[in-house]
Amino acid sequence: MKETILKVKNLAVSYTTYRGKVKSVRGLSFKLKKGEALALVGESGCGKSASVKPIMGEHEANQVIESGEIIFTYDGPQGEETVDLLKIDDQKMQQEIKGKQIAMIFQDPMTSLDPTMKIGKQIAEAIKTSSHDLSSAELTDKVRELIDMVGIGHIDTVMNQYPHQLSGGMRQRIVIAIALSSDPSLLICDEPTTALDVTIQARILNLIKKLQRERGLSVIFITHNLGVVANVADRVNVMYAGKIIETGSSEDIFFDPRHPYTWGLLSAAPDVHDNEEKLPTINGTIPDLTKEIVGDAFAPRNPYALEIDFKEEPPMFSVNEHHEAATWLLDERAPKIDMPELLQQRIMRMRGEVYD
Amino acid sequence: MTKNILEVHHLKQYFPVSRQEVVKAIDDVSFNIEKGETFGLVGESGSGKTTIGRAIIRLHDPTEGKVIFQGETISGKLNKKNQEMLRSDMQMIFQDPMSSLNPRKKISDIIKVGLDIHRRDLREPEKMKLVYDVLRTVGLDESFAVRYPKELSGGQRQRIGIARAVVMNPQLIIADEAISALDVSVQAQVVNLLKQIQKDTGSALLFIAHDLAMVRHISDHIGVIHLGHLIELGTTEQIFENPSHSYTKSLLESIPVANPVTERGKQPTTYSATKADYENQSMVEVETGHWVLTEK
Amino acid sequence: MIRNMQSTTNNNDFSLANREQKVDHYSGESLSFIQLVFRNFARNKVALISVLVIILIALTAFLGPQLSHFNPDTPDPQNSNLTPGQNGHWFGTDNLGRDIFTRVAAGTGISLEVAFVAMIIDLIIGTTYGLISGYFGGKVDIIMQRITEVLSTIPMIIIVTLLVLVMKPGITSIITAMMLVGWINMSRIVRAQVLKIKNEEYILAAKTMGMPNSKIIFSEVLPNAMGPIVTTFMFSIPNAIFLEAFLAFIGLGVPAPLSSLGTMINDGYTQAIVFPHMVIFPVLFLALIMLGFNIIADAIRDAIEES
Repeated sequence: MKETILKVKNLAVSYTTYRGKVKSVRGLSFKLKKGEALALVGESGCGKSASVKPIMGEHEANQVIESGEIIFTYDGPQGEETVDLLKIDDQKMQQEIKGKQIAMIFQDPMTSLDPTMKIGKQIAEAIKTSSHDLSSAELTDKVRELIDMVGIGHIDTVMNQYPHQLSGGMRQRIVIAIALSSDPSLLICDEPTTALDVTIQARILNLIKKLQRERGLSVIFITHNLGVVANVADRVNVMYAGKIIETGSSEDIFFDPRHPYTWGLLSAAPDVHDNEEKLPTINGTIPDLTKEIVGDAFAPRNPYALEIDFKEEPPMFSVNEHHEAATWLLDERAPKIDMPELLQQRIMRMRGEVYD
Repeated sequence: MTKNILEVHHLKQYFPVSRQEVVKAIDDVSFNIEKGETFGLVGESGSGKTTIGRAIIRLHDPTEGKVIFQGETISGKLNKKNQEMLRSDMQMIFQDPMSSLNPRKKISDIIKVGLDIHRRDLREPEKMKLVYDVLRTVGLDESFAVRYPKELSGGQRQRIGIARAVVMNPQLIIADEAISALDVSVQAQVVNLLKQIQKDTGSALLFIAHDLAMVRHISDHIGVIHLGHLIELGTTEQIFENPSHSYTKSLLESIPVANPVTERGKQPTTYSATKADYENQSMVEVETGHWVLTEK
Repeated sequence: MIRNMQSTTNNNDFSLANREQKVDHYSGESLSFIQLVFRNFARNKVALISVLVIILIALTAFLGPQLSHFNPDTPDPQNSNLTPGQNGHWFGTDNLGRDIFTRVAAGTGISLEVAFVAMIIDLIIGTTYGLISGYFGGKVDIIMQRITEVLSTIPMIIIVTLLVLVMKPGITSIITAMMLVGWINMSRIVRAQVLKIKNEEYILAAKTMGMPNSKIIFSEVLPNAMGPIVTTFMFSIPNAIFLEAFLAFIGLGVPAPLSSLGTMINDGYTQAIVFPHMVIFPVLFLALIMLGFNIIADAIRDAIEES
């Protein structure tokens, strides 16, 4: 059994706005093991980013942490340490964790790069913040090593270029190199390939997977693209209205989804083999999180909603030892309802491809 | 009478970057869109597909080439009649639902813009009736008319963008990456809506996107753009079942599939070409209606 | 609680609900940008106090001379150099026996008038210039920018001093002088805003619908540039007041016997050690006005940024 490096327990985050308190994250719990890639999937506004910000120690002025624990285990200067990221002081967060043990990659690489500084220098600066006493020769070696590691061939040219001279995919590679300069144990990727083209997306994902494998890196992927999730994730957490509504291995989620919201997400993305006239959609919009939610937050949009969904919130039902879903459909009293026809056919076909 | 609503002949759009240099954003692109059909234009970002849409609707003045819309030439100098025809019969839906609506205006005023300019014959209550009708069409009720854009979700905003175009009853709608900024579930809603509107009004659609699965779903014909050149053109079936150009093939192979087992084993494709490689090539018909850019 | 809920569940609860909605509805209040800005501004207590102070000062400036039976400009040698409170002079008198309260009030009035008129003209010129230069771009922009660059290389104080010297000293010449240089800053702010806004997709949308340029500028661009324009305007008022006071202080202000805060400080500072009240009151008023406007401008900027 691999060790758990991150444990989020009952995290609740709200934001105060002029409209009232927005309860963005409403009791989130998950675990991340060493070397594991976890995906947080959901529509925008489901609390994906809001739940990751506290892990990165990012405090916004109107952010309120209502409850919860974020237990992080890492190899600190004094050996293995286990801390609650919500309780440790800012100085420790800055010196040992943020950008050191936990690094982050964003959707737009330009936000993490200094447009006025050459690539080589930027990476060198990043290295210097974590390893202080390197000679300039050692530093240059380390920079070259990092650029090489993210799969860029012409190292010398790139070192002397400015961010704007690089393509989107190259910039994202540089951002990854900078993120890895401190040898982190956890990498958080917030929609890292959304701005990139499919061919380049495939290459960046491949790079992240390779690094994850080679360095035993744990990765949290935030994305709404299920194809990306299928490509990179070992485990998938499907989020809706600030909660995890289904969690399982990639195979569980893609081949045996149980929550109607997961069905909706999976069927809404067209498959190149489908020939449906009309794409299945999830009607309506995400609920207003300033209001108290009674029952299942997804019920008003759920074509398979039961009467009880409007009264009482479903607990997590266990499907197998690594697959759980929060839907009353899994209750023994519920009528037997199957996933939509289209999705069934698609999964049958995909399984066929796999087990042929 | 031609069955084409739009004809693009040898369209070139160059942008000067300095006195000596020009960027050839689009180089010699030709295609036709039939009445009522959907033409999908795919390519990576920076390939020039957005520029093509903007040159057609005259946000840019094309450097060379000819664009014919409803039988009238709309590239070059526009007379008053053609200007009026272009501005009311061709409409555009934009990429970013955050920035495509004026944040200081009410939804009803945003939708009314085109009516205010081109339908002087209508009185205010008649215009408002059209606004409410079109809101219904895009699945929003009257309560949205008095709201401001920031109060709406991304998908709702994009539907307002569609309403603003549809209220003019256009013959051609250019949807420029209209779904790429939206969530998967909302993308499906918007695509269904576009299809429905097309069915109801018979307008043609130029669907510019980089998501091939969506383009396949919605399009009758597809053009593949790379580095400012149209490299392959054909029916949706021809492009997807029988892709000829190696760039098209690499694009198709890169589409992520919701299948963890096959995705994990997938190796990224490699394809590289430069503008210079394409410059001396020309389109060759490999089968009826299926054109590919190849060496002469 | 949970047990309670469980006991109320019955088998009927596990039947399909079928409550799907087909059309979106928006419930909840809707606020325009202006309303939001007001709401955010009203939450800033210090700014509200500043508004109150500025209102009080403005009232004093315009009603003050009526409240007192003294005339601000008439010397009264019998009552010169009185300390505050003596003979009904609330703030005392100066060395010519003029009532300092009414002089401060009248002086504040002139200072406010000069600043406001100059800044409103700046607002109009600067905004128009910036809008045209930024929106049309290209050659128009290049020429217009060269003009402002040339103008801004000449130190403002020199232009103003020369102008006031050449023209007859008086309110009009001071306003003209301040007007000539003040709009440059405003035009730059507006131009920068326009350059940002004109690439937004809603501007492109307006163009694809055939909206004329003049209408795009006024109904699409301008409302979205309003935030920085208002903020710049508010910040430029205390600057203008200070400039007016400064001109008066170096002797280029409104001609005697008219008073402005600057001339009073100039008159008073030579005797500040003996008769501190002669300089304290105008300085106090000047300081309060400057501080008040700066705090308000700051609060408006914050309110706009939050909205």
